[in-house]
Amino acid sequence: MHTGFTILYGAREIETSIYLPGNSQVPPFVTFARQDSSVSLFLGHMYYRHELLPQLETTLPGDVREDAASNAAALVLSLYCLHGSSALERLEGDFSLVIWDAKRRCFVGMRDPLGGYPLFWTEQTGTPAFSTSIWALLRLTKQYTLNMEYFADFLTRPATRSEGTGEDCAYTGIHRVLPGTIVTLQPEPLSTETRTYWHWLENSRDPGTDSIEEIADHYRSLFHTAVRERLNGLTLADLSGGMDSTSTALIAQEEIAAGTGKPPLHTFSLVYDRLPILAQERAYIEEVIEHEPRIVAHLVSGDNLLEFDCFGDPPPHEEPYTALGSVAMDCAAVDIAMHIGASTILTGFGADEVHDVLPFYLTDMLRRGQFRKAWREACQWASALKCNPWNVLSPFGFANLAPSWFIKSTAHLQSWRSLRLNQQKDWTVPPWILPDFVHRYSLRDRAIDHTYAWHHLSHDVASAMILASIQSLFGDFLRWSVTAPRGIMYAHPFYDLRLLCFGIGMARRLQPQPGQMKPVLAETMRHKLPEKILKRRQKSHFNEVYYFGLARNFQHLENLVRQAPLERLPIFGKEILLSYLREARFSDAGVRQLERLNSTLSLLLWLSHEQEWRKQAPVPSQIIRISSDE
Amino acid sequence: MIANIIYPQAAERTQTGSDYQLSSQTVVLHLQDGTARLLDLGGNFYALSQTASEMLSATLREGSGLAAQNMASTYNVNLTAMQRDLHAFLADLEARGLIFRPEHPPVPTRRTRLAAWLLPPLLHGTQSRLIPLKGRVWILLMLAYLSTHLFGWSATVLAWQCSLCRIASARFVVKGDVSAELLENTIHTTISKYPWLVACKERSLCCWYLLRSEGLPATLKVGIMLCPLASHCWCELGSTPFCDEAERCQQFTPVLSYA
Repeated sequence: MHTGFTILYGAREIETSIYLPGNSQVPPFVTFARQDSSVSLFLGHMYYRHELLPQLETTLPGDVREDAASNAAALVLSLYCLHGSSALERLEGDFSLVIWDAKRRCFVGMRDPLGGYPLFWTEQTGTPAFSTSIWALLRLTKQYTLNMEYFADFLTRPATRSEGTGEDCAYTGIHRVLPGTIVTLQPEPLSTETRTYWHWLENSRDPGTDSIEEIADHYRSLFHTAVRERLNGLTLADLSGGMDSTSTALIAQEEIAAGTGKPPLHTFSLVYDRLPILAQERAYIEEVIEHEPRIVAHLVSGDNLLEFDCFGDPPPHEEPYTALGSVAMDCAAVDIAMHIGASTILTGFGADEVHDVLPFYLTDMLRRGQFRKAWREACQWASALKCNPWNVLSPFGFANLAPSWFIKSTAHLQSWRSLRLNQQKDWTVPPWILPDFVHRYSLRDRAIDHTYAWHHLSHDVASAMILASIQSLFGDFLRWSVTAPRGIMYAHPFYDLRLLCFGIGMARRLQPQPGQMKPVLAETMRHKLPEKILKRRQKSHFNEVYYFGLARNFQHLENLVRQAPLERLPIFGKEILLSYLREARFSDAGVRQLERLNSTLSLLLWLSHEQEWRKQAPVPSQIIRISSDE
Repeated sequence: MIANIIYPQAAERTQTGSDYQLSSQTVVLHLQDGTARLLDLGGNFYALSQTASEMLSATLREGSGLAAQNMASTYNVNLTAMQRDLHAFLADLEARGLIFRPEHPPVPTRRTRLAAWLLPPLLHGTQSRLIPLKGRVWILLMLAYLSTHLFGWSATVLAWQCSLCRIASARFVVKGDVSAELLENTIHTTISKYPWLVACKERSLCCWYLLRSEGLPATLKVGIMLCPLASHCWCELGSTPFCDEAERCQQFTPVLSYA
């Protein structure tokens, strides 16, 4: 079931369709507002609303102010009418919104800087429209042409991305509103303008001190606020035994105890008995539960929630999603939330990007010719990690020195068709992609451009890598496809803009030190996190889940490849792909080296279901028409 | 997960009458899903599907003739075809040195003989007390690097074991003036500044050799991880990883152990 809206400029009228989730929650997911002939639609959740309301106090009538206090769309429209689109730039939350400005006779579409909810637009067939659904726009245009440029991008971009890196979508004629941008669409005469309103580096906040204690004090305050803003009704918090999710859960517990949200806090943990490495996590989870008796803990066996399990019954989604294979684990949390009637799920995602900073400053040192200094630093890291300095200097120093044009020129010398899975790099093109497609869409150059896109983010590598990892947070598949249709808010306090901006400033100021695991987060949570979790050096990986899942679902995956409608997308060599799939099952290739294979399988799954899903047109909960001549 | 591990010595005891035997360089890991992994101590891994795993087990247990008959019967296939497939499979394994026929036992290669001749005196030379401990570590790491790259793992370990046996039986061994703690700190510090890329093999050999030469109960371990397929070497003092991350070592199931 789709949750969102569509707004279009028809013959003499503006038509809006609103799709609500099956069980409507407070606050509602989709809100609508109208002032005179202008309308606004808002999908998602707005945070720090109480800071924006005072701006309306003296300028608007009481009933409008009252509406704005509870209706996000009304607040947005009021701010826009008073201050223009610059007022929208101050909004914080997980949202997408569209305003029909009757005075200027244009649409204004916008997404938050992390792309919490999707937004698309089209101007084909003379019906300019915005929608949170690609398929809704396709039904307007009645054109369903797959966009090969998009798929070329999909197969070469970093697998960590939830959505495309550009405005192209899986279908031609539909455009994506990128996170942190505002698109102004004027129907008559038809024109569009896209403006990036959010710049991460410009908005980063320097802590003004090198003292970890002082930084942690400030961070603590922001963290509490971020969690508080996201507590809505009964809450289920992810508790995996790592520092990030445990911190979120414990702060949530404090806030609930202080009166925000609805007690008690429920937590969700996947525990393993048969997977030996992940079985070690249980001790950390139980340590938390033992010390927090007020928490209601749900321990779910993860032994049978393996990678690719959801390929048998995937949630409908409008574009292929690389990490689809691991959705079964995430859906287990959603099932618990539905069962207990939780309206919010909190996670620990987003902490690593500013807390677990890797020593990429070594590249900057090498660039400046400071070889001896770089070597000494690498030796310190090697001492802390019990390895050799080259194990540090190579990936975090020399590996990033070469510019992308150099990699491109050397890549063309290499025979990529014969690469085994364990030889795949981030920028290699998988051998199962047909040569014709590789050449026509310049896949090799594209892959290298994606891998080295961080070059353009900042002049210093350390900052560029932080920004690149934040970009990997854009979009949210589980929220769009699973939780929103069920009326559950899926929130990540570490994604809070204030927290992230402070985190970027903090990460740029504090050089990562060997042997210190997330020092600021550890200091922030010093008297709250169990010692066992504070002192742990690293969390268990999920490799077992991946490889056992691949083995268990192997037959199903083989059938998927054999039966996929490859004639619709002539990209892959079926037999070559099957041989590599068989190799993956027994290979010594790491999970990262198998990401292109995951992308391919996810794409084939999407292609196999896409026509059937597309035909399931949801019925709008509400349709509102306003004359465009008013 | 690993269901059972077959070592060459154990395999030999059960392989009476079989026309193929497991090479002394090969360890077989049978997994719970019926597949198998072969670890060749030369540093290669091989994965066997369920059917291939059955073929190998049956051959080692009862000989290729009987194995072909039983499998043809089980899978209801033509015996000639089964024999052809089985022999092609076994020929491949034999060509890779993983199994051998008793009438053609593998002979120690030239590399093995060279390692046995060359390495022990060099190793013995590092025992001179004129060389400071840090220097000994430095030299041992380089020797470990060169010997594993030139002679392979098995020949290296054999040669190093020979040297340790000689030290143990030598009449003029001076024992116990270097503590385990000092050794660990010195090795750790040296490796963290070593200008050459040394990995777990070199570290573990160096630790093992130094601890053993000081009369300390060290064991050299080789472990395997299935997800993804990978191996790791480490040294244990008693039952504790020495100069290595315990959490890292725990991820690997020990399959070989050298005292």
